[in-house]
Amino acid sequence: MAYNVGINMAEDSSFNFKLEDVSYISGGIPVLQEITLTFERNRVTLVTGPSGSGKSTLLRLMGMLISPTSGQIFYRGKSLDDFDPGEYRSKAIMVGQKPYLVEGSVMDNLMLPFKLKHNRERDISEETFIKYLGRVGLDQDFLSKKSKKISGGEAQRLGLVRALALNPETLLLDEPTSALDMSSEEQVVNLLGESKKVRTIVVVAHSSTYLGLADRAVVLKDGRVANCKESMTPGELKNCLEGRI
Amino acid sequence: MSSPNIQEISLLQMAICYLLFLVSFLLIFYYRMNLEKDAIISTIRMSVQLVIAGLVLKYVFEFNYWYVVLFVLLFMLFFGVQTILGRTGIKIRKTFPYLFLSMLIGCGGTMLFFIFAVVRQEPWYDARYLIPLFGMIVGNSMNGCALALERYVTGIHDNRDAVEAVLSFGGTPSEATRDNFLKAFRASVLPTFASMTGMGVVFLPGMMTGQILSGAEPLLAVRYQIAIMLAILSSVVFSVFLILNLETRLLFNRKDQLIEF
Repeated sequence: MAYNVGINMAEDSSFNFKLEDVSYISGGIPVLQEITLTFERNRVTLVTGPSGSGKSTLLRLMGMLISPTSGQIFYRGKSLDDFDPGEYRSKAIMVGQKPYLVEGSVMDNLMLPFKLKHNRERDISEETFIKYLGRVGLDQDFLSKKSKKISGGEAQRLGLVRALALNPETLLLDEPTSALDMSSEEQVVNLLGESKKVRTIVVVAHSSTYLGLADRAVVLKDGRVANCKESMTPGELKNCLEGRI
Repeated sequence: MSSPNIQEISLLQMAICYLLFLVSFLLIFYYRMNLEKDAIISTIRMSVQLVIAGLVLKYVFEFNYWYVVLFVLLFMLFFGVQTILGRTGIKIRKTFPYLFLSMLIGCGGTMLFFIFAVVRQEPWYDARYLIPLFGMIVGNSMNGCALALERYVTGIHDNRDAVEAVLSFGGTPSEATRDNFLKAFRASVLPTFASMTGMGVVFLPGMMTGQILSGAEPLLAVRYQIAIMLAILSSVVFSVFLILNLETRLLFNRKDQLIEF
């Protein structure tokens, strides 16, 4: 795959991420092998591939929740090793498939990150939450709903709104719409599409819905980057995953 | 040799008590509770350990050297830490020294306050006071730390996603483990509170019972009991607080990533 061949990107801060020969081994089993990729700023990258191909691990590496066994990751020209972990993670926020919810109302859950040391200074208003909730098909009454009573799809949208309200430079999303119906998924995709003007988004998904939103796709197979085109139609993606491209 | 104010029980009278064990054992055996081995081992261990402790104490009380007393106290602490790790099955690197340090500060600090500010016996290292009092303090802190560690480590292990979710927002390890910390802390101190609540009404505590049996004035025994209960509470709180904070350092690497365990 011809990703920016011949250019030394390690020091180039115009890229959001640069992964250089990154491998990750867990319990003696190689999960990711020799991944070399770049992610441009303010672009959406879809990371897709079969289950167990290492997509979520790639996202966790980029979210600095784990470190590569070998190789290096650079964020805007600076190695992740040189960042203060809290400072980095408040810039590049990862949202899991099942967002973490605490007991209490939706509002309590939305406010959760703003009570952390690194985010206390950030401005936030109820209006911001209401604006984002409206964009993903949830109204103001949702704010007072108990977190125990919300559905999986509502939880995913809450997780996304919570992350967007933090206004991060980068969003790392792991299957953000896996529990949503098609129309809600479309709303989320539209919101992310607008959001990419101001931030970089890396989204792990099986769904080909994201092909329309993504500026490029990275396909992982058996822990390696598969040899696929960067821009694909859903049919081409299917063919690629089946090894026909 | 018998104490002047205590009703002596002979070896035979003590042996009769094993009949009570026999009844319990038969019940366990008859209903196949798969606890026969535990029942036998724990009863033998209890008996042998106490006989050895009695012989050691006899020697230590007689000579009363400060360095021997100190050695016994450190041995008790060491054995307490070993017991916690054995009971909880925690294999996280460096837990032993951190636990030893936590208990040393929690129990040792409380003990120093207790002997110099409260009891003020002469000499300060009098084994007859130091060893039984420290035993009560270490025993309770050991139970507290075991409960706390087990809850804390298991809680974090089972809720890895939740911990990492808070880290993902820029949270620190302390912020990410706060819920687990609080749950573990509560679980570890609640038995002490429950025991304090029932004391004097539901049961008479061991030390007070022992003193009364030895002929001490009940009100003097009560004063000792209140003082030791407050010391126990403080040592449990300090030890648990310290080990949970130190264990948090062990569970995260220098990049604030939750380690695999």
